[in-house]
Amino acid sequence: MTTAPIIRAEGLTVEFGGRRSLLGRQTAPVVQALSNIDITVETGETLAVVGESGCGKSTLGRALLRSTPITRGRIAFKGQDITTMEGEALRSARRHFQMIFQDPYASLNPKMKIFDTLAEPLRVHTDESSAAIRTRVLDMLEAAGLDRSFAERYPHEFSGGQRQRVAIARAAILRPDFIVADEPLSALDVSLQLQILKLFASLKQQFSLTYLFISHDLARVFGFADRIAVMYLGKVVEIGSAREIYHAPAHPYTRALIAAAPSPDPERKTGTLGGEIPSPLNPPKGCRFHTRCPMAMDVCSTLEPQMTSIGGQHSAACHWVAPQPTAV
Amino acid sequence: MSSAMLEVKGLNVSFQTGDGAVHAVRDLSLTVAPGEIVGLVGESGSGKSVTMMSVVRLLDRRRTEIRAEKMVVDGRSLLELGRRDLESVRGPIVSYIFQDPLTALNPLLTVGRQITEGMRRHKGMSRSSARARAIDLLRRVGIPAPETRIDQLPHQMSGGMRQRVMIAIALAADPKLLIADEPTTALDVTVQAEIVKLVQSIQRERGMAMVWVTHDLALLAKLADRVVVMYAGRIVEDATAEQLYAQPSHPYAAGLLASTSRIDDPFTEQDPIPGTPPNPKIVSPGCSFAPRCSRAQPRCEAELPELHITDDGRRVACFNPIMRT
Amino acid sequence: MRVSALRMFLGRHTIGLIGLAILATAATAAIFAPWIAPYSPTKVDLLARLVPPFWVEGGSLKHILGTDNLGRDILSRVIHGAQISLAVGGGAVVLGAIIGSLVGLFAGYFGGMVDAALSFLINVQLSFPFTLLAIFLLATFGGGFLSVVVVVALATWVNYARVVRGQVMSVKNQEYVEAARSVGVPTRRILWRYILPNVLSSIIVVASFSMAQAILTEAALSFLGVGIGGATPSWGTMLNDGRNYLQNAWWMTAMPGIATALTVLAGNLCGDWLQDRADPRFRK
Repeated sequence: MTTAPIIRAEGLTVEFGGRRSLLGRQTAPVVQALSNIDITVETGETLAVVGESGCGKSTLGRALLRSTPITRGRIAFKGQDITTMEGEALRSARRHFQMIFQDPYASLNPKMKIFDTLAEPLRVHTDESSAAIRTRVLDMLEAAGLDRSFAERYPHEFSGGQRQRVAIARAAILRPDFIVADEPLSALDVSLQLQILKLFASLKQQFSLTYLFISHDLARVFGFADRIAVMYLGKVVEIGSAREIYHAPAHPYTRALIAAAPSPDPERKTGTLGGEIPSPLNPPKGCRFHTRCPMAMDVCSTLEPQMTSIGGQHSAACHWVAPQPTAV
Repeated sequence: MSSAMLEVKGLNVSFQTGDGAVHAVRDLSLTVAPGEIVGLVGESGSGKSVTMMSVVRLLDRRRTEIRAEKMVVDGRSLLELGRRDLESVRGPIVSYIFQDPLTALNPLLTVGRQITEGMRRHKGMSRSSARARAIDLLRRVGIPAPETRIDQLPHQMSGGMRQRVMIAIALAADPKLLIADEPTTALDVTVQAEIVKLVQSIQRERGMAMVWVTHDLALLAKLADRVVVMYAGRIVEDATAEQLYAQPSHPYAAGLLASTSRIDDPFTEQDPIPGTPPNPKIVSPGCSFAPRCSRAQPRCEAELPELHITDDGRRVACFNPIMRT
Repeated sequence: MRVSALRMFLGRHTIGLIGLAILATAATAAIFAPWIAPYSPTKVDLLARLVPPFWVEGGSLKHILGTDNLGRDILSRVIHGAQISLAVGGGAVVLGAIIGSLVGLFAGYFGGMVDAALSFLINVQLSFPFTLLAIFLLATFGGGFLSVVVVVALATWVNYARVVRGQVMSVKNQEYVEAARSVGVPTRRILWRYILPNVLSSIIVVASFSMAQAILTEAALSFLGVGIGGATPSWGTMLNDGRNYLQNAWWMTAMPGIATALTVLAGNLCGDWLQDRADPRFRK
């Protein structure tokens, strides 16, 4: 494959807090939301990022879109370094990467008609005529499964599912190269989740989109994503194709997530993972997961494991994964 | 036949809003046997939370109208109960766990105070014995170092721990019926698995009856004895867990199960239920699910299907239910 | 069915309706003054000095609310006075709203140094005795309608600034603002289309309370003698005139006083009503 990846991040670190007083003293504690992350998103793929609260998946999505300040590291978008891009350059670059938010009740301006919400990206980034804009907005509404008459109405007249469709339409209307969807299904009812997932799939096919799909529902993303990255406390602990992860989860945390997911199959046993997520203010030394890991060894509490390839697209950061000289 | 722990008959709950009445619950009848775990499933607007909140009368009197033929807990009628009598029922008979422990717990009182409050009121325990019992309870719900935690405030704890505290509070007065209203929805999946395991073991230990309200059918598969599915304010199916997960009878229940995320088989394509849930302000003369139903017949939109008992002992409200082959 | 719906509407909005009714009356008086008022407000009639209102002994229906020390008809003066009070009130409210909202908008949205500087300005204004400032400004720049409007606006802009600043600070953290930024909407457009429309309701609420404050301030300035001046009386001027006659001609003060009080009350009632309506909790 010779196409450059859409996004390549190296050594990405995002820290919050850490205010310094005039005398240079640390006045607020530093929280490392992302710690030294290397990640690539290939053109045309759906990369899912899963993890539980505090793992940093939302921060990762925002960081890749330059919506959150980056403390250290580099991000390249289609080969171009955007790490320090600012001001007007960044603003106009945004037409190429968009975001879909979690809460459909909060991500639409209550004082703007649906038409204007969808027209906004076009008005801001293109100089198309109002007639052209009108056509594109109405077409997009239809592509998103909404009736064209909805354009003249306001967000509060619609349900969560419909609003989320509008949010998705807004993100897709400029045919961006890259869309980050931050838990877009979490606020929706079960029956709607599947509908919206189908919408994601159909738009992807129609417009050749690339997704970074953030979710806490591992089971949903298996059937939807090409690759899955599992995060824990600011680090990526495992990454691979959906099937690789499902059939051979290498990292103990990934296995715990799979085991804990509830299943309607009465034969399947649910596994539990003890302990609590450690505070991000003071992450465990060595492997961050070792305090809860059923397979922790001595080395796990002193040495941080590096991402090691297991074969194919599959890698995991765990001392139990021995480096392979050749792909299996 | 032993008398039911909870018996609700003909429950109707409606709210007055700015533009018309919302009929949140319509003609609902439900029974829970002693020691039985019943899962109450539905999506937003189904009326599942409103139903259980009406039972313990947690809804705002001024805005809601609750009418029922019968509402009996452990032989005691809950209708027309004054506040004082209601308080004597809440706690020792019925306990309630809320969805969001952060807002349900008093942020200004220590965890210990919140647990012992009910104990001292209902059982007249002394402060020291109540405290000892509270520490025991915290240990029982899996909180490490309970002697320290007992004096902490809710915001000093994680979400999972706060929910365990809520369970401890609910158990403090030894209830016969525990109502859990989406207790794990706001929690991570690993924490959820732990809480479910905990509640299961406590329930087995004490033989409590339980109603677990959730939107997640998968969650109830190994937890519930019986599953009750609600749609647009009514019960559409009431079957044993075994029956339901093998094959639901009501098309909505079947669609819901088919839409649930399946960790056991995630790569199989799933088909969504088309359309959107109905507007709660509009009451249709027929089945509320008919517009979205693939099995709908002309009769369905005109006539309301009542719950009837099928050959295998389920209750289903449908003119064209899916038969077990 | 119709009647009960109407009753429900009236019941829920009684406060606002009363306020609106009073304001409408005042506005009508102001607009149609030349036609409604029985006499010219400046017509002097020395033969009919200090005539009491018609319900008091010595009064007559010729001068319903009585006359002042120069025989001018009180009722006519009150009606014409509405022009000044409402014009000054309205003008000051608009000017104050524009200045105050802009200050609040920038302070709230940009934070940091901008906020620090603007907040300092607000606090300076608040701690400075306004009356002294007003007198100084009017003495320096002369009286006249425009000066008074500007000075009264100065009295009220701070209210807007504080409220708008707080509202903007909460709105700017809303997800739809973040969404707009991630779409690439430039800052000035965000302020204009995303922030401002969502704080507009608070501005309107402050405006109705401000209106009351503006009218009172104008009355006070006129009372102090630094008001608009000129032939047409304002309620404040009338209050000033009546000062020396409190003992024997109380109606000279009472009538403009009641008019002022009612208008101020109306402004506050409307403000209360708008505030209730803006609060989503009361909607449901």
